[in-house]
Amino acid sequence: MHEQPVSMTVNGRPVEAIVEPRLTLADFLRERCGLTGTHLGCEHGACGACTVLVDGAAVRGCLTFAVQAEGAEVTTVEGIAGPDGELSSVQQALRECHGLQCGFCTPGFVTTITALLRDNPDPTEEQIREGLSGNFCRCTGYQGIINAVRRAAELARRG
Amino acid sequence: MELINEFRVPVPIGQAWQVLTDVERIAPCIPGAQLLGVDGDEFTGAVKVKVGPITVQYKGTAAFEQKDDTAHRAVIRAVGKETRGQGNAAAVVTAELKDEGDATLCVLTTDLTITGKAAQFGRGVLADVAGKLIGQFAERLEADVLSELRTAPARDEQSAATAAPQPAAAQPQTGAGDAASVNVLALVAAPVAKRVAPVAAGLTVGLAAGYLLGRRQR
Amino acid sequence: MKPAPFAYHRPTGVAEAAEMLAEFGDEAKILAGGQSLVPMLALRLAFFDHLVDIAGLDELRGITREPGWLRIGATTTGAAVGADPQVRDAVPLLTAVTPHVGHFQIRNRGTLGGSVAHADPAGEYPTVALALDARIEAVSPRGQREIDAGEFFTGLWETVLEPDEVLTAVRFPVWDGRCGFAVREFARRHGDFAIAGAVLGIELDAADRIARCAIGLLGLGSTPRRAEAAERELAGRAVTEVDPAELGELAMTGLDDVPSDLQGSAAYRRRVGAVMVARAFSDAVAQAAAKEHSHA
Repeated sequence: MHEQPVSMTVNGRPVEAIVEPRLTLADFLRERCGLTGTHLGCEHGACGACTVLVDGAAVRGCLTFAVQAEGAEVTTVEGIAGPDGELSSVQQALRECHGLQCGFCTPGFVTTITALLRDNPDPTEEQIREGLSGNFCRCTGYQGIINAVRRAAELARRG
Repeated sequence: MELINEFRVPVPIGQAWQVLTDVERIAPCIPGAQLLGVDGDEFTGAVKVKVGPITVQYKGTAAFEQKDDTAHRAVIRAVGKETRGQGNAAAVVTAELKDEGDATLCVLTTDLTITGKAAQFGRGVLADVAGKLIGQFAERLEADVLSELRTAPARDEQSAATAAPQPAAAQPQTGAGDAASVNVLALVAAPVAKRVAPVAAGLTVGLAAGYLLGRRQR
Repeated sequence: MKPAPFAYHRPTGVAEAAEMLAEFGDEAKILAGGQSLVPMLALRLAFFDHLVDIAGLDELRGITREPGWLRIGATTTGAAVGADPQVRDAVPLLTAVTPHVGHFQIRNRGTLGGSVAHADPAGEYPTVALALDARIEAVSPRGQREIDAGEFFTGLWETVLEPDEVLTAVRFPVWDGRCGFAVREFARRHGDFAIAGAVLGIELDAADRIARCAIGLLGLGSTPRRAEAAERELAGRAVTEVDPAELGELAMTGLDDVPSDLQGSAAYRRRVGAVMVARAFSDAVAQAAAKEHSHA
C-alpha cells in the first residue's frame, strides 16, 4: 500500500528501492539491502541493538522509516571496518577487551561508540557510561564494553 | 475491578428513568458511538475512543439483565471486542436512580474485566479516562434532556411574561436553573452508554496504561 | 512489531502541512522525530492512515533570542537544544533536563516541539514548558495562535491543539538575576521515563529571599504538573528558612491523579517526588546563591 521510491547511500554504496512508507530503516537495511548486522531487539527504541549512523548521527533504526532517510548517508556495522576488512579502533578494542559474548547487542554498541568517540575523543568515565546508557547488553555486564571504549579512544589517539 | 461513578440530572426520577432507559435517545450522546441495532433488550453498538494518539474501536453487545421500573434499578451485562485485536472487555453495570425531588441522582457501579494487552493497566488511569468519557456523555445528555424539557415551560414563561414581568427566580418545573449543579461524573441507566463508556474507556485506558508500563525505557 | 500501513506525505511548508491535517482529519498525524509516535505505531497502539512529515521544514528550525524570550523552532532536536550555547545562556533549565531526555540516539531525532505536542506526563520538555510558563505557537488553516503552557496540557497525551494545528515553536521566558535551575529525576535506568521527577527554577533577591520559584513535576499525574502550593509558600521567604524536605512534602499536595502501576504505586511516587523536589530545590538554591546580585 502506498509504495514509493526511496534512495540513499548505505556504507558508501547508492541504494534505490520501492518501499512501503511503514518499512523501518532497520528492516530496510536487513531485508532489502541484505545487511543483517543491524539487529532488532525491542523494536520500540529502548534496547539500542538497531542503532545505525544516519548522516553521521547515531539513531534508532527501528524508529526511523526508510522513507525518512531519503538522500541520507547511512552507515551500519558492516560499514565500520576498513575497505580491506581492517577492524576499526572500536571493533579492535571490543575484541581486545572482551566487550561481547553472544554479539547480539554488539552492532548497536559499535555504531554508538563510533559516534561517541568521534564527537568526544577523550571521554571521562561518566561520559562513557552516560553515552552507553541507551544500549542494553544481557551477557557481559558492561565492564568489558566500558573498557573497550577507553581502549578504542587510546587506539585512535595512537593513530 | 470496580468503578463507581455518579451524576445528577435536574429532573424528577420518573422522567430521568424514562430518558435514561431509552437507548436510542441517549446513544447519540455517547462520544464517538454508534448504535448498530436493537433487538428487544439487547443492543449492538460500536464506539471509537481516543486517548491522545491512541484510538481503540470496540464492537459489542449489551443487554438488560434486570430492569426494575419501580425501584429504578437496572443491571446491564455488556461485552466488547476491540476491532483490531487489542483485547476484550466485559462489564456488569448496576445502575440506580435516587429520588431527590426535582432532581435525580444516578449512581453507576461497574464491575469491569479486561483481557489482552489492556489487562496490565493501572487503576488510576482507567478510572480517570472512564470518568472523563462518562463525564462527556453526561454533559451531552444533560444538554439534550434540558433543551427538550425547556421548550415546554419556555412557552409558559413567554405567555406569562406578556401578562406581567416574571422574576428570574420563577424557574420552570424542570429546574433548568439547577443546570450548573449537575455533577458531570457519570451516567447511569443508559445501557449503551454504560456498556460503552466504562468498557471502552477501560480498554483504551488499559492499553494506554499497558503501554506506559511496558515502556519504562526508551 | 510493525506499524499498520499508512500514506506518507512530505509537505513543503507548514501551511501545506496544516492543510493536509485539515483534509485528512482524525486519520492524519504529524511526524517529526518520531521517537514518541513510532513506538506507538510499531506496538499498534496508534493507527493513522496518513503521516505528515515536517522534520525537513526549514521554517520550523532554529533557535532565536528575542527580548525576554527564547524561541525554539518545533523541529529542533533534543541534541541541538542540549548543545546550543544560546539555550544554556537564556534557559539553562532546558540544557539541564536534556541529558534526561531518553538517550543520545533518541535526542538525535526527537524534537522539542514533538515532545511538547506529545505531552507525555513524564516528558522533560513539556514539564519545563509548564514550569516556566512558556508559550506555544501553532498554525492551522484558520490562522496562527499562541497558547499559554498553563492551558496547553489537558490530559494524558492530550493538548488543546486542534486536529488541524501544527505546533510550530515554543517560546520560553528568560529569567534574569540571581537564578538557579535544577532537575532531579528518578528512573530505573538513566534516560528511562521518570517514575517521579522535579524541574525547578529559583530567583533570589540581594538579601537571599526567594523572589520567585517555579516547580514542575514529572510522572506525577496524567499531565506534567506544577507544585503551585509549594511555589506560593516560597514567595518572599528567606531561603535559609525553607526546609527542603518539608517543601518536597508540600509539593506533593493537590496531586489528584498520581499514577499507580508496575513501576510504582502512587504512594511510592509521592515519596520519591517529594525527595526529588527537595534535592532540586537545594541544587537550584546553591546555584543561585553563588551568583552576585545583578541589577536588571
